[in-house]
Amino acid sequence: MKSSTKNIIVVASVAVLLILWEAAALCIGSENIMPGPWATLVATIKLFGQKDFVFVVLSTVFRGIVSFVIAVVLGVAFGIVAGLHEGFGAFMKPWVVVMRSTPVVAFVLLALIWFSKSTAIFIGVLTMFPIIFTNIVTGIRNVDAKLIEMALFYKVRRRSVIRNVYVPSIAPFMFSGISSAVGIGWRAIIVGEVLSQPRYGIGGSLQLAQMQMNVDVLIAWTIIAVLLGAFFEKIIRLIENVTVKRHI
Amino acid sequence: MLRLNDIYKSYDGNAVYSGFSLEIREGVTTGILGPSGCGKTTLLNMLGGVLKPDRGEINGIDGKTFSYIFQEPRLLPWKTVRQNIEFVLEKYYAKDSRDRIAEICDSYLQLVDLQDFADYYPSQLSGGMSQRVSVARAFAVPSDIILMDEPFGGIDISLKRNIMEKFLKICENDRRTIVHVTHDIDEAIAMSDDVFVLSKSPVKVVFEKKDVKKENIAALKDAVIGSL
Repeated sequence: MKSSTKNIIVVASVAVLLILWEAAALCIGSENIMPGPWATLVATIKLFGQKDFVFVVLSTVFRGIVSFVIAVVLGVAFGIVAGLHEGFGAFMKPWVVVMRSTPVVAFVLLALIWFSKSTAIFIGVLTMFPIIFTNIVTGIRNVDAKLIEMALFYKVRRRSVIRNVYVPSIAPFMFSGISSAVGIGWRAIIVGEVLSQPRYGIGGSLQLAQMQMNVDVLIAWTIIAVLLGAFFEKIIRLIENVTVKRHI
Repeated sequence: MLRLNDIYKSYDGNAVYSGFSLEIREGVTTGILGPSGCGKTTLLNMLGGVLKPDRGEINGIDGKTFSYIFQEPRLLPWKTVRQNIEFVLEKYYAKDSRDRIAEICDSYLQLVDLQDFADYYPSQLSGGMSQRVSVARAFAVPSDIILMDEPFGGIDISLKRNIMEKFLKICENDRRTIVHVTHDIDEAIAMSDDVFVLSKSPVKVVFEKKDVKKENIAALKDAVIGSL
């Protein structure tokens, strides 16, 4: 399909969403319960004018970046060891299964008791780590053994084999893991903020808007969270396109 | 001379080599024929030093450098043809010798008629072209010994002839010790100076002939077939 046709379909899809939203708002007939797209847009623009808007957004972004960095460092390090040593992979399996299958809310409630203010970061790491870890392990196990053997036969230096064979083989898996992790982790961090109520944070602002029945503000913060999440995923994709060469 | 003396090698208790000995002349191409699974690849791996025999000695390989041509081209898909050759060449040249490395790549790519494809990726090449790159790669490395494991096995007959001609052309000007393992009699006779025929478990030399090119090829072929 042509990219111009795809773009038209995407625009049409957004238009249908907005029409349905407006129709639902008109049916309900109360801006306090279901504000329409226009009222929400006004609320969103108003948010930008609030004096602590930047602090709220930056606080959540900061928590996102910190938990992302920790999850990537741990996920890549543990993933490499588990990918190369089957025994360590087997050791990590139950940990990763527990992290992947425990509901985020259960971790949030526990983290509230254990960490209080750092809950969101902890939750972010806990949701992102297993995804990155699993993808790195899969990447390492998918490295073509025949290419490694070729390098071994030619006695290519170990550092060169890592740089020229292992890294390019694992990179697509790593970026795919990071991309999924960012989407899931970003949402988990905001859930963590909703429950841990830090002084500044998008999650806390969502909770406040809900308590005050400011539905337009609640949706406005949601839109900002969605846009920021999409922005981070886009950055990851851009880095992937620049660094990963696709000639396979 | 490369000498395998009284070699023993087993896998899971099954003796593949049991008191096996062989002498390979240096500076010529030695064809090693044998049925599939008889241990020809094991022999190459032992010669290349990536596999140790359980017992016995291999003389004449200490300090030698090796190149390999595998059955599949084994090219890095994310690197261009030139970069693939540079990848195995780097360790032989100083970091400031990029021009020299590029020159070597170009000269060997020219010998296999791929000078115009240096910046192509393996996915953009046919199977035969990729295998020619692996031939260029093996010769570009300043190795003493080239080990070839059924290098033309997966290629169709017309391409095979073309690659073999290119290979022989390079060999004329660049004599090295080449050990060529194959189960194709015609290929072994066409490409080798010396031919050995091996039997299966435990491996034994059942036929050998030096200076094959001086022989009556039809009679030699019959003798090889008779020994298998």
